[in-house]
Amino acid sequence: MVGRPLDEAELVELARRGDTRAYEALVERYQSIAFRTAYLLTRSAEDAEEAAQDGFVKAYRALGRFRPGAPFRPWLLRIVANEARNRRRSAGRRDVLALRAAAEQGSGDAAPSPESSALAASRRETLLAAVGSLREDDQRVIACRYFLGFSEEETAEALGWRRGTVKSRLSRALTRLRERLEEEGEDDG
Amino acid sequence: MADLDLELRELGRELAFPPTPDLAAKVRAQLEAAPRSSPRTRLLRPSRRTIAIAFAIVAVAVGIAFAVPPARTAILRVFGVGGVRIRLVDKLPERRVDGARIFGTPVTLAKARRRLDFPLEVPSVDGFDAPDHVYVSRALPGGVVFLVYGSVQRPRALLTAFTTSGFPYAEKSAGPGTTYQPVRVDGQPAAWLAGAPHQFAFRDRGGVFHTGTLRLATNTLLWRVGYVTYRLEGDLSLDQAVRIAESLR
Repeated sequence: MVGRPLDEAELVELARRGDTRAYEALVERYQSIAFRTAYLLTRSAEDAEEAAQDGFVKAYRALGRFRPGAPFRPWLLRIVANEARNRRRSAGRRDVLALRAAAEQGSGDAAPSPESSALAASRRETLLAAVGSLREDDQRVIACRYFLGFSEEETAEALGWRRGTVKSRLSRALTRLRERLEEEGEDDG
Repeated sequence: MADLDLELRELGRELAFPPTPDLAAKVRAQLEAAPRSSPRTRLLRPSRRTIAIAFAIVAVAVGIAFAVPPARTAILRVFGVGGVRIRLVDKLPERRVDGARIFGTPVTLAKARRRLDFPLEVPSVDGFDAPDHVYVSRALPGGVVFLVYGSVQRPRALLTAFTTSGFPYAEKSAGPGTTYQPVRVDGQPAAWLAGAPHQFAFRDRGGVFHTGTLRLATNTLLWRVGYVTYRLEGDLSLDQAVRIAESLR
C-alpha cells in the first residue's frame, strides 16, 4: 500500500478478492468498536475478544454476500454482536460496568473545580448504577444508543430487533431509568 | 433530567473498557490458516444441508428417531461416548472432505488450562507430551481445547477435549467405509473409528451447529475421563491411540 491510504470501499473490495492484508487494515480500523460492542453485550473481556475475533473471521468469509458500496461497519457489527449475544446466553461471571479512574478521564474543558468534578463523578456513578439495575434488554439498548453511539438502524442490526422495536424499547428503558433515578433522589433526600 | 440523553452520552465516554486486544494479527493468522478460496471454507458457510444436519442433531439430543438427509440415509446404530454420539449410517450426506476443525485462540498450555472450566490432561508418552500448538475456545460450554501435533494446516495428530454436561454436544456420522469398534481406555467404554473420513458436528453454546468432514479423522479414538470427553485423531493404530489415551496426566 503506497500513496494515499485506501478508503473503506477499496479495502472491502480487495478483501472480497482474498487480500488478507486489506482485511487486516479493516480489522485494525474496527477492532475497537467491535470489541467494545461485544464487551457491552457479554460483559466479559474474554468472551468479547472471542466474539469479536470470530465475528471478523466470519465476516471475511461472508464477504461474498456483502453488497458492494454498502456501509461496512453496521454489517460487521451485526455479525460481531450476533457472536456476542450467542456467548452471553451461557452462565458465567460478568463484569459490572465501571467508570474510568478520575486520572484517566480526559476532559477538553477548562479544569473544573474539585467540588464540581466530584459532584459530576458522583452523578455519573449514580446514573451508571441506575442503568445497571435495569433489565438486560433495557441496558443493551441504552448501551448501543448512548455508550456506543449507534444509530437506531445500527442498534436494530446489533440487537436483532426491528427499528420500531428499538424506538419503543429505548423509550420505555429511559422511562424506567428516570423512575430509578427519582427513587434514588428520594432515598437521598 | 431533561438532559438525560446528554448525560448518558457523557457516561459512555467515561466508561472503563478493558483494553482492546490486537485482533488484526490473530484474525489474519486464522484466515491464512484456512483461506476463503479453499474448499475448507464450506465448513463455515451454513448450507441447507448443514441446517438439515443441525436439526437431526437436535433430534438425537432429545432422543427422537430421525434420518439425515431425510429418506436418503438410514441410521443403522447409534452409540455414545461421553459428549459424542456416533451414528452409523448407510450413506453419508454428500460433503467434501474438508480441513480439520481447529478454531479459537492460539495460547500456551498453561493459559488454555486457565480458560477451561475442566481439568485438562495431556498425554505423557513421547511425542505427545508437548503439543506444537494449543487452541482454546469458549464456543462450547466449559470451553474446548485443541492440542495440535505438527502444523496447524496439516496436523499429524489432533487431540480435542471438552466437557460433557449430560447430553451430546457433538456427533459423528460414520458411513460404510468407516469401521466402528467399541474399545476400552483405562477400563472405560471408548470408541474407535477407522477407515474413511467421517463427519463431525457439534453444537456450540449459542445453539449453533458446526459440521464438517475431518480430513484428519481417518482414525479416531473417543473416550472419556470423568466428565471430559477426549477425541484423538490421526494416522494412528488402535494400540498407539489407546496407549496415548491411557497416558493422560
